[in-house]
Amino acid sequence: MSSLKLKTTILDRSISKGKNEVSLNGFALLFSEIVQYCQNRVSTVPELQAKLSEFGQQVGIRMLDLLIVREKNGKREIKLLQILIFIKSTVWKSLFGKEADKLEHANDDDHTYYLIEKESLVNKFISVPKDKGNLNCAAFSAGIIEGILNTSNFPAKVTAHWHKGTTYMIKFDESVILRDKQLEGR
Amino acid sequence: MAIYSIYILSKSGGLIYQYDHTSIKVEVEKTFSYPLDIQLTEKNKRIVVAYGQKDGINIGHILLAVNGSQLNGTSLGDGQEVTAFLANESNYPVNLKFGRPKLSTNDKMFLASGFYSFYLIARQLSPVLASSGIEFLEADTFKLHGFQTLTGIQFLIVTEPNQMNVEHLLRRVYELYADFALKNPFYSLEMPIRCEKFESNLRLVLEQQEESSVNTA
Amino acid sequence: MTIHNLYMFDRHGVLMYYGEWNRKRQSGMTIEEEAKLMYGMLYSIRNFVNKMSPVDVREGFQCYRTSKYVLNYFETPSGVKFVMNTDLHSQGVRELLQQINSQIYIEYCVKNPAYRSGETIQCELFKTKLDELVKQSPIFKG
Repeated sequence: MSSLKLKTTILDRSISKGKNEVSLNGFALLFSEIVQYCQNRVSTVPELQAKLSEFGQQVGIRMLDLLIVREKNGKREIKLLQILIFIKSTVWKSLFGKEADKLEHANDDDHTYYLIEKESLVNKFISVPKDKGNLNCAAFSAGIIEGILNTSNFPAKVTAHWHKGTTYMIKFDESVILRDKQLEGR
Repeated sequence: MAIYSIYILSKSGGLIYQYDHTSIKVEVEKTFSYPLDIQLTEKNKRIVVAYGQKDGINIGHILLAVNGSQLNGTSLGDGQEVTAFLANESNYPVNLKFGRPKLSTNDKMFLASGFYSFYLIARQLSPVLASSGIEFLEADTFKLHGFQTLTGIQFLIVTEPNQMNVEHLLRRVYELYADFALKNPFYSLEMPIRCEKFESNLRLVLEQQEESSVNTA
Repeated sequence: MTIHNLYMFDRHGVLMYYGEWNRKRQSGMTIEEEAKLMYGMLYSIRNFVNKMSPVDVREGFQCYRTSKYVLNYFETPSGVKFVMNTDLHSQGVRELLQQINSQIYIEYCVKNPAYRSGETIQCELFKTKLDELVKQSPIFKG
């Protein structure tokens, strides 16, 4: 009997959610190193944002698979609004421990949505020097959003801006909006 | 009770941050008749009191204004040299304003590296084994509290002689440094700290400290 | 509480007298070199204090403290400087220095016709009286 008990390995147990806590200091220092790493490899601010966004996309792609399995029973969102809400609540909660503050639809452009975060966790300890213009290191989180949307087949461009804290501007591809209109009413 | 200023020194003794919280203006105005009964000299392009302190005008004070108009270095607003102006009897009686010179950025860097050297010498001259450097310095007009971290960064806080709880404040400033300077990707070690968030949080902590000390006083 | 040592400098920075009671560590220098270093440090500290002070100083520098000892500083109007190192718990060292000045230095050196200012103090009476006063002080006994 006892030998049988020993054979239950970690693989036999169900997937643990684990503690959803990571040291903020550890994260802040790691993120600081990421920014410095990127900065040493680029020469302009837009390049730096693009590089950070690239890193974020890698995170987004991996997070999408993980969260769909854990939280959504393996079902992927297919409606535009649903996936945005999925990002705002589920993704943000598992990454940063809290939901994003607001989701808005642009008045003048139905391709554009805004995700607003008053105090972005990645920017908590960062003061951007004046010569860096309007660099926002939350380009990393913007990359995460973009990674998730792109791999869910909602091609979009996501950028981070300093507005009401940090605002992520999500610009969807034309095809996404058309498809979503067709889905309406079903 | 007041906190005058905060200095942060790098491990090689360079000044990497300085913040003046409360500054006191020491200025005295007085009307003089001929001949002038205090001796003035020119030093570093400023007119300095050299001899004859009286009525709150002390040696080392600089001449700030003549007859209400601000001085420009050693010359009056109209370009005339002060020394020539004051030598002329027909210009009297004259109203002069003296004040304690403000510390320039250069002065502050000089003070910081000065402190760093006393810190080391105090250890060398210690009559007992395993002493640290200066942790606290007292003068009749202020107290200076220092704290050196294990990595060699020094925090100095200059306060009024009766300010309480400075030890706690030093630790708080260290925390702020660890948070808003060290975790900032745009800050490089040993370099001057120019971080908005560090400064705004520091101001907040100092204001809180003053409020709490007012409440307990 | 304990007293480690005492330095006396004249107004030009010459070491007039050095005495030690419970010194536990030597600096590894000759006493002349040590005195020069000490005087140099005090001189710069005084300048430092004058500049750092937000208002005009009267007496200026009084003492500093490290993790292990306190350096107490007292200067007379004529520029004689007394420096006494004690442990961290000693109280009233300034008063003791004032006593040394008024009861010992003035009495047995200044009033001694054989003593010329600017010289190292050789008067035996000064030395024995100083030793007595220091050993009687509560700071020394404590």
